Amino acid sequence: MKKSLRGSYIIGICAVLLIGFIVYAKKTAITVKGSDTMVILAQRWAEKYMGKYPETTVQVTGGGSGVGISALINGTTDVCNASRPMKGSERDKLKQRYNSLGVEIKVAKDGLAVYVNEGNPVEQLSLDQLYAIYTGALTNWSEVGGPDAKIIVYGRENSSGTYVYFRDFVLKGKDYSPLMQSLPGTAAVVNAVAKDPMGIGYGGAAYGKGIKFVKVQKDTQSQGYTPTAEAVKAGNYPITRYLYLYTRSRPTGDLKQYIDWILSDEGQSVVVDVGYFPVR
Amino acid sequence: MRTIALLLMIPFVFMLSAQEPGSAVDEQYQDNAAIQSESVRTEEAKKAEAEGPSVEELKAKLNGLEESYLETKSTVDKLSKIKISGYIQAQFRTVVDPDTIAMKDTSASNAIGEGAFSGKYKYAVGDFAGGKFADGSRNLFQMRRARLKVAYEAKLTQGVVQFDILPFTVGNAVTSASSGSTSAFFNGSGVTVKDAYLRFTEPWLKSIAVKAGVYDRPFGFEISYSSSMRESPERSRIFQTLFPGERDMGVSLEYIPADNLPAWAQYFNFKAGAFVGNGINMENDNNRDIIGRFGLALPFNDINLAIDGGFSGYVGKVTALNDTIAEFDADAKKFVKQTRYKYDDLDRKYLGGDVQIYYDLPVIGGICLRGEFIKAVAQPGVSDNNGSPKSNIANSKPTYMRECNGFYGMVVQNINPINSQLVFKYDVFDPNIDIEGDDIALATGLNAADLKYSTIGFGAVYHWDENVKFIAYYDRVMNEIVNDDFVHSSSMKYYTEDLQDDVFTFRIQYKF
Repeated sequence: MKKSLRGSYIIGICAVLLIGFIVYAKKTAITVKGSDTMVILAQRWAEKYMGKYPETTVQVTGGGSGVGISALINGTTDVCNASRPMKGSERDKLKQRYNSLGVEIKVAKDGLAVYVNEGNPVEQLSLDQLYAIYTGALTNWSEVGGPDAKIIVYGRENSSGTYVYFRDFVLKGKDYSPLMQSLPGTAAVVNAVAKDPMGIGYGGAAYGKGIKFVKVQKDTQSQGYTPTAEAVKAGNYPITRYLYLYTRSRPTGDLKQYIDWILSDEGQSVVVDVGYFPVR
Repeated sequence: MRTIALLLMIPFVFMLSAQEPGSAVDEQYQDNAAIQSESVRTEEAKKAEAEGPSVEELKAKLNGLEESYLETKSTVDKLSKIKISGYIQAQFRTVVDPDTIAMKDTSASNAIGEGAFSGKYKYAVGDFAGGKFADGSRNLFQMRRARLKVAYEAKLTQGVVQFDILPFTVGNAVTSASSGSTSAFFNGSGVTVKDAYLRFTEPWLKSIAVKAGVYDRPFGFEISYSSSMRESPERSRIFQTLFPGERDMGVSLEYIPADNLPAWAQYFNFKAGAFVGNGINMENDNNRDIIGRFGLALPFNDINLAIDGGFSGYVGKVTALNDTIAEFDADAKKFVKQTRYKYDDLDRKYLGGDVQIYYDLPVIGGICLRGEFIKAVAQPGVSDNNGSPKSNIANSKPTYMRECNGFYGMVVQNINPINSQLVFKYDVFDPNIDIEGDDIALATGLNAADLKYSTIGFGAVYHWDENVKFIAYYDRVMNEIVNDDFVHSSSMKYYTEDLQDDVFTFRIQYKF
């Protein structure tokens, strides 16, 4: 009698645990962390996806691409948003912990916009001029056809993928000018440039509201382009980059379903709504 | 006198009485003025309140905040160059068969006599699995490592100091038939410097660096693979023997490709330098050991496969403090002693190759196949110890030159759904490749330092979170079986069969 009672208890506890596990497993949570450039895009994806699949929760936070990749390595996020490719040293850390190089998924294209204040008469800048401005070699607007005033340079913090991409692509790996004011998030850069008549900043094209995009030329002889859909698609806009999702391992189950949805027509339409460019 | 005082007081009294009515008027006037000005101020304040702060005021405030932000930022930027990290490993280890095998004391000098249990080990157990078990301890709680690393990282320069902070240090690994000594486990001080180095990177490619100080020897893969990341509790026997402590003091040149270099330049890396050859001890002769590794890294991102590997070399010298050198005669199967000059320089030469293959298996997680082979063309040791000397000068015993080799192969399979890893490792070390088990007989004068060891290790790692992990690991240690001649030898008779020296380790690690 005693034995059968104990057996019943064990079966009961196991049943409760099993039901709990099934209930827990049914309600899936996907955590997404990383790029501030992509945070609005990721939030829109999450909202739309959760509306369609209410049993799945998608939690999105920013912090920068570097922060997201660290979280992916530490195991504190399922998906990392990154506005730059993963570095070799970061892949090495993933290899050490997960025996995997990580899975890279291109989810959108972005023309990295260069902003100036609406009142600034400068209309276009070449890559070389941007290089000179951001490395501190060129400090007055008059040197690029603007007023005789000091250029106030705004940029992103070093945890940002945009910071890294701009440094590697436009500055060819050189360091930013020490006078650059680092701001947390593209929205902060846009805000600063909107208020500062002599300011210049860079960031995702989706953020470029209320300020003026500068046309960017490959060199002083070539035609300048703003990051429009046509210019980016045609490859004419010089500062174009992919936006990525990274997972530790090949996505399966709910995570795969979520990523497949992002790459579907529906997911890619969100990319266009937010102001970026679809990958397909 | 009193009259004079009264006369002097009169004008004072008069002055005071004359002032009183006037002051009352003034007060009243002042009160009225105050009420009026207050009402004016209140109105102005109300007006200002209604209008809100002026743009100039806000700008001034903003500028103040910006200044304060920039000041704070510069302080934070300086502080962010200091990076503190570390890990703590606490573990429980047990000898798997303590009662029947390891604890039986048969020494004639022991009053208890054969068949009883004195607590004294017949042979060393656990010396390559986290430190030798002291006599009397069949299992133990142990702080294996407690590391604190402080690094100051500027853009192109880096200074690093790493300490190991323990209540005691683990004894040095030796392979000795006679060393059942308890002292080996509890030697040394509790705080030791593991790393102390500086590193300069050139500013152009940001890929070539000079490193100087005390740090990991650039040889093979396992030496520089952090103990906090390693899936098996300890390094392979060959590394513990040839590279005790892993570190050495020296200066080296490194090529580690930066991300902005072209793809072809990312496929290889290189580290080489001149080292003292003493471990972390001071230089004590004119010989430098040249150590280097040329590495390849081939990523196949599209199929989530990576193949890494490298070739390593070690060319060094050890000065003998004894004029007797014993070299092995492979035909006679014994050491032949010869007299040479004292302070003669003897070769220390190793060659190595390593490979690591990473592949992401769907659903279950990544798998890693790792292997490494080392051939020691010349390894100076002593009669009963094949380990590298801790100094560039060998001790005063005759030096025994051996040719040895060893390898390990391991598989680490991630089980991502349960945040775990399964580990299997096979590790072989043959300290004297010119002789095999049965040939090791009484007549050859060889001993346990010439025996080949194979270790099968298997276990599981569970990652609780990003900081904490648990390791459960079993080391099945197998020694070469010697000739039956040794049955009556006091020190070697145990090696006529496989020693019962398996060890189980359960470890908790906190990394920060």
